Parts: sequence; C-alpha cells; structure tokens
Amino acid sequence: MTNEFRGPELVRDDDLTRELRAIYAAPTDETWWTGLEQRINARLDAAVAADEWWSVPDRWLRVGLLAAGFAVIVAGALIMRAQTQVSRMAYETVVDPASIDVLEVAERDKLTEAQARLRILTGR
Amino acid sequence: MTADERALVLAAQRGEREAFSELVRTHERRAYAVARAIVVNHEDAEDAVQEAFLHAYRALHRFLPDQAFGAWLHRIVANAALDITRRRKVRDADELPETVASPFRDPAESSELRQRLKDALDSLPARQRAVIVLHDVEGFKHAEIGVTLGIPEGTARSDLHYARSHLREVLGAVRSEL
Repeated sequence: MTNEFRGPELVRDDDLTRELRAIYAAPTDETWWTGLEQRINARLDAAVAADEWWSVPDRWLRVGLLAAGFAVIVAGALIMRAQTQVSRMAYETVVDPASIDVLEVAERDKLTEAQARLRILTGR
Repeated sequence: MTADERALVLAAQRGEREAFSELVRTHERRAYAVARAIVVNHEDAEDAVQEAFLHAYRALHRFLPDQAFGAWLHRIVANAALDITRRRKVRDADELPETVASPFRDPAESSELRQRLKDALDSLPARQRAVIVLHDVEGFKHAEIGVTLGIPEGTARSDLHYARSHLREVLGAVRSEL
C-alpha cells in the first residue's frame, strides 16, 4: 500500500503559469530586499538582547544568594552579641556595686549599698 | 550545501552573527518565495520570513551540517507561513465580512481574469496553493515540495493535480464569459 498519487497529472497550462507568476512575482526593488534583511537582523538583535537580559539573573542569582547568606550570618552574629550585652547589663545591674540604681536607692532611702541592693532584688 | 555555506553555518553555530546575516542575505529571496506560496499576501509572507529566520537562528544548534541548509530553512519558513495562515483564518472568521472582502488590489492585477484567479487561489486549501505555486512558479520538484511542506511526494503530486484542475476550471469559466 502506498500513498503515491496514481491519477493523471495535468500538464502545465502556460496561461495559468503566466498568471500565477504575475500574481506571485517577488518584489523587484532591491531596496526592499535590503530593508527586509535589515528588519530580520534587527529582530535577531532584539531577540539576542532579550535572551541576554534573561540570562543575567542566573549570574546575579548566585551573587544574590551569597550576599543573602552573608547577611544572615552577620545578622545572627549581631543578635547574639546584642543578647549577650543585654544579659551582661542585667547581671551588672544586679551585682555591680556602682550600679546607678543601687546608688540612687541608697542615697534616697539613706541605706547602705548592700541594703539598697537587697531592696532592689526583693522589690520592696 | 557548498563549502562556503557550510563554513558560514558552522561560524553561525559558533555564535558569529555576521555569518548568520550572510545566510539571511543568501536565502531571503527563496525563503520569501516559499512563504509567499503559502500565505495570501505579501505582508504575511514578509512576517513569515522574519519569524522563520528568528526561529532558524534559535534552532541553529540543532542543525546538522551534513543536511542541506536551504531545505532545512524552507521547512521552517513553510511552518511559519502555515502558522500565519491558520492564525489569519481564525482572525478572519471573527471579522466582519466587509473587512474580509476588501483585499488590497495591485493596479497590475486588476484584470478580471487575474482577480478571479486570485480569488480561486485564496479559496484553495493552503497546502494545495503552496504546492502549485512552488511547482509552477518557483520550479520546485515534487520531492523538494514534499520535504519543504513535510508531506509525501505522492501527496504533493495529488495536490498539484487538484489545484491545477480547480484553477483551470476557473480560468475556463472566465474565458468563456469574456
């Protein structure tokens, strides 16, 4: 079984061919062909530029990820440092003999530093 | 494919834009002829050619240098032209009849016979129109038409037969009226 056409092939009709050639004649103006070539190249340039624009994020994505990772590390370190500082300040507030609160309470209530510290600790 | 063309294709595959531009310069006329055989007007043919070269550029890495570049390109052009024809058919179906029935008329094509023939060509299925134009106007052989349009050679022969037969009827009718 073949799909080859077996019917009679009509011979070329000169009148028909002449009319077809007139209808389908390609532009004869050379400037049109040059223009077409330029339009094709312009579209290619635009397409290449667009492709490059899309490929930029791939490169920047790696840089961005590195920067984000670095930022997370720095932020983590800063948070830890801040927490340590808060703890130290809280500790110093309690045990530091020169604590401003202790001195103020002692002076205001005519107490010794030890009594003032005790009062701050007990909250009374 | 000539040695020069092969060198151009290889250079274009390496990303040399000037080499591809040279291929455009070499093949644009034939590409236009293939597109024009399929679509119904000059503007669509130009669109198809532009689309096809863009597609060819992007698909160039898949082209095997042992193939014939022209045949490969013509296939792409034919597909682009058929796409445009399909889109136009859908668009025209949505448009008002007045807009459809106002085709551009070249003064050189104003004879009754030519206009009737043009209408008859437009009424042919796109593939039959392409086959008769590629064969009778552009001088393609049946096998080349088959490769370009992606159809068996026998189908190209039968399409040519039916297209010629239909156009001859139109031609005969116009002649008897005039």
